[in-house]
Amino acid sequence: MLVKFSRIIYLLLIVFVSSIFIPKYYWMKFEKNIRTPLVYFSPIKNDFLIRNQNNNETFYVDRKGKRYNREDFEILMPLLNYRQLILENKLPDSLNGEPLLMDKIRLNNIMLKVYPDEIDYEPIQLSPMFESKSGRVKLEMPNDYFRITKSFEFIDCETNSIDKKKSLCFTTYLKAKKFSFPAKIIAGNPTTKKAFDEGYFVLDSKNKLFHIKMVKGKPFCVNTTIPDSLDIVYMKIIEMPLKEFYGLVFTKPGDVYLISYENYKLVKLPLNGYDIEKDIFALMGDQFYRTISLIGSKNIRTIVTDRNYSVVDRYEETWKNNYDLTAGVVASYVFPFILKLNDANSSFSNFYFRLSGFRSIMGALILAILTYFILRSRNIPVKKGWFDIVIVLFTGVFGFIAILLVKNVDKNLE
Amino acid sequence: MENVVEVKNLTHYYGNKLVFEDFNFEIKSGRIFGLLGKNGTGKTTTINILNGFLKPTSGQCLMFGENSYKLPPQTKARVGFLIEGHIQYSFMSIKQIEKFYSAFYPKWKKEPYYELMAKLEVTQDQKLSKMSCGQRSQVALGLILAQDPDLLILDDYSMGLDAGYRRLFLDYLIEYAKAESKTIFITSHIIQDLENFLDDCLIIDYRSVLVAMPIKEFQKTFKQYKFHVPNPEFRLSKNNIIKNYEILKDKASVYTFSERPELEAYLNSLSINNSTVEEVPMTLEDAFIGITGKY
Amino acid sequence: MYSALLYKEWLKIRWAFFGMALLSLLALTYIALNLAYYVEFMTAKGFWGNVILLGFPFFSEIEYIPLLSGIVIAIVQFSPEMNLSRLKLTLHLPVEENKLLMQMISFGFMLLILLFVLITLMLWIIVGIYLPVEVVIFVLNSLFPWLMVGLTAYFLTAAIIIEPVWARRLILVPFTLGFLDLFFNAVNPHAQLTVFFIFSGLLTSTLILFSGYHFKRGIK
Repeated sequence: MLVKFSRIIYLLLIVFVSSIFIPKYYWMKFEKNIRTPLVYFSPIKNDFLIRNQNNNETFYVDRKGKRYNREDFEILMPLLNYRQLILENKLPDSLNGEPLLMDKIRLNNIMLKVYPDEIDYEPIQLSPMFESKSGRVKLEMPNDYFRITKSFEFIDCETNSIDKKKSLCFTTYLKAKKFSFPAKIIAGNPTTKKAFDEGYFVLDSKNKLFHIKMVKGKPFCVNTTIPDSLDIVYMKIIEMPLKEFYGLVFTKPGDVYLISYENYKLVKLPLNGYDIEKDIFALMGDQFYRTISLIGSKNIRTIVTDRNYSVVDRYEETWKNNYDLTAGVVASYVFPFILKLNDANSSFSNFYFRLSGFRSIMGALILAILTYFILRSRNIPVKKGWFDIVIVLFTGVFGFIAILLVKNVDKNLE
Repeated sequence: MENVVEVKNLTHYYGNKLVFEDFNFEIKSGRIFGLLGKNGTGKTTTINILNGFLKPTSGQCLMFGENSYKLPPQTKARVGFLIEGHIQYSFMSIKQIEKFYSAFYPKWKKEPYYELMAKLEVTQDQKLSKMSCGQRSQVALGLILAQDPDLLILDDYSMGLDAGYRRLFLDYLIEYAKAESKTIFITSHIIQDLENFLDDCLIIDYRSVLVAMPIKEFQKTFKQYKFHVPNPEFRLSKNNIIKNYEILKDKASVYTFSERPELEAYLNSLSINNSTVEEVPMTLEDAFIGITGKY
Repeated sequence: MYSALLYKEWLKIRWAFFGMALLSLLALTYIALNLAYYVEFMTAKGFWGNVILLGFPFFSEIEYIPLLSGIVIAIVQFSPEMNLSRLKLTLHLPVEENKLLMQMISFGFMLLILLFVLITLMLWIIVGIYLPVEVVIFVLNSLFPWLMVGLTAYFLTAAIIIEPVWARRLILVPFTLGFLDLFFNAVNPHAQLTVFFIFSGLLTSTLILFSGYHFKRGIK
C-alpha cells in the first residue's frame, strides 16, 4: 500500500515537472516573436497610424493600408516628434488654430503604461513621506518610512524605531479627518526623481480615498469624497507639471478613472472591456488628444478622445498569437495542458494552467490505449494497473512519460 | 522435526540468465545445514531470497512458515544474519554497535559479545572501520551470538579469514549449536573446515542440485575409484553411475554413489579390467571437488 | 527501538550536521557584518531605500545553504547504507521495513527542521536589528522556499541514493533538479503555491519507499 502510494507520488512528480519543462523547452524552440502593433492618432490627418514591424523593418500604415516611412510619420505626428522636427526645422507654427510652442508641447505630452504585473504586485508596505514644500529645488529622501496600520507610524532609519511624536501627530490629524485605520492601498511615487511631490493617495479601511502628504513638516490630509463603491485595486500616481490629474484609479471590473486636480473629481475613461489581469493599459496625450490603448496578447483596442475625454474615434485590430500558429496547434494536440509557475502578467508565482481543450483528448486517448498494451506486455492486469491508464488519460504525454520511466515493478506491488 | 526453512520450486533468473531452476530443499530445526558450491553457483542469491532481499522469479521460500520476503518483525528477530564479507556498520565502535543492536532484540545477551571482544586486541571505543578483516568478523559473529537467534544464516563466513580466525569462528558456532534447537545455515566454498561441523549438506552446481543429504551419508556413499585406461582414446561419460570422472594420461578417476559391484559391472561393460580398480579415500573437500569438478 | 535507530542515524549525521550548522553560522555572520557595513557606507536611509524600494538582496548568501544541507545530510546518512549493501543489515532489523525507512528519513527531517528553525530565527534577529518588521517578513518569505528546497532535496537525494539501480537513479536526478529549480524560481509565491510546495515537498519523503522496495526485491 505504502509502496504503491510512493510510486504514485513519483509518477505525479514526473507529470508535474514535465508539464512545466517540456512545453517550456518546446516553446523555446518554436515560439515566434510576434510584434504588437502600436496605434497613434495623427492630429494632422485626424486618423490613426499603426506602427508595424516586419523582419526588422518598421513601417506605419493608416486604416486604408497606405504605408508611411519614418519621416512621413514624424511629420504626421508633430507633437510626438517635436524635437526631431525642430532639429530639421519642420515643426509647423500652428495646428488646429493653436500655436505650437515647445514648452507647451512638452508640458502637454503624456506617455504612460500600466502592465498587468504592476497591478498584481505587492510591494513592501513602507513608504517615504517627502517634504512636499521644502523650499528646495530637489526632493530629498526623508530619514524615515511610514506605515499605516492601526495608526500612522514613522519608523526612523537610523534607530529602526518608531518616531512617536511624529507618528502621533499624523495619527491625530488623520483621525480628525475621519480616516479609518488601517490603510488598504497606499499609492504614491516613492522617488526623488520627480518634478514635485503630491504625497500619497490612501484608501482607508472604509474605502474612502484620502490624499495625504506632508507640508512643512505638518500633515496634510483631504478626503477626496470619491464614492466608496468603487472596487479600487490599483492607483498610479504621477506628478506631472501639467497638473491636470494626480493619477489614475483602476477598479476590479476594469474601469479607469482620472483623479483630477479640480476638487479630486473623478473622470471615467470611456473604455470597453479592459481586462486588468491581462491587458496592458497605455495612455498617450498631447495638446489636442488622448490616445488610450488596451493591448492584449492578440488584439489592440484604441480610443482617441479630446481633452474632455469624449470619444473622437476608435480603432481595433486583432492578430494571431503563438497558440494560433502551427506550433501552437501541434502543442494543443500533444500537451493536454501546460503549467507555468510564473506568468508575465503577474509578479506572483502561482499555478498558471493552460488547458489545451478538445484537441488533446484524442492524443491522451491514444496514449491511454497504448498504456493498456504496455501494462499487458508487463504482465500487469488492468485491475492492478488502472491508475496508470487513468493518469495517462488525464495528463496525456506527461503521464505517459511517467509510466514509461517508472515501471509498475510487479503486479503484487504493495 | 519442524522445518525451519522450506524452499519450494525456486527458480531465478538475472535478466535472461538462469541462476537455478526448480530448486527445492528444507532445513530441519536443530541442524547445521551447509549450502556448498563453487563461486557463482547462486549461494548468495539463495541467501538473498531467503532473507527477502530478492524476489525469486518463481517459487517460494518459507522461514519459520512465513513467506521470506514478507517476514514479520518478530520472525526477523529469530534470525541472525551474517552478510557476505562480515559487513557491519563500520562507523560504529564496539560499544556503540552493541548498544545499538541490544535495543532491537528482547533476548539480547551482551556477555558472549564482550567475551569475544575481550579476545581481540582492540579497545571498546575503536571503530569497526579501523579494524582488520578478522577482527571485524569476530564483531559480526559476536553480535549474532548476542542476538541469540533460533536460526543463523551465515553467508560465506570464511571470506577473507585466515585459518586461525576460521577455526575460532567455527568453535563459537559449535558452542552455540549445542544449545537446544538452534539451526545454522551456512554457505562456504572452503570445505575443509566443515568436515566435522555440518549435519546436512546441499551441493549445488550451475543450475542444478548435485547432492542433498546428511553429510555423513554423503561421505559414506560417495566414492572415488581409480583404474588404468585400456587405450589413449578411451572416453567416459557422466550417467547414473559415473557422477564425475577425470582422465589423466593412462589413469582414470571416477566418482560414484554406486556400490563397488555395480560400478565394476559397468566398467566391465566398457572392457575395463576390474583388477586395476581401486578405491581412493577422500576428505570432504576431495569429495566436494569430486562432485563439482575442478573447473 | 526507535531511539536506537536514531542513535545510529545520529552517529552518521552528526559531523555533517555540525558542519552545516557552522556553515550557516558563517553565512549569517557574513550577512550581519555586511548589514552593518551597508548601513555605515550607504547610510541607514540609503540602505533602507535600496531594500524597501528596489528589493536589494542583502541576504542571498543563505540561499543555497539549505539545499546543500539537505543533500549533504542525505549523502552522509544513506550512502554508508548503500556501501556494501549495509542497508540489508538495517532492513533485517526486527522492524517493518517501510516503517524503518520512514523512521530513518524522519530523523534527517527533524535535524534539518532544527537547523532551519535556527537559521530562520537568527536571520530574523539580524535583519530585525536594522530593518522594520515588514522587511523581516519579506526576508523570511523569501527564505521559506529555500528551506523547502532543502527538505525536498534531502528526501529526493535519499531516494536517489537508496535506489539500487543506476538507470533508475539517473531517471530521478533530472526530475529532482527540475522540481527544485521551480522552488528557486518562485518569486512572491501565492499562498496556494506555498501550500503546494509544503505538501509536495513533504510527500517526496515517501519516494524512499519505492527505492527501498527496489532494493528489497533485488530488482535490477
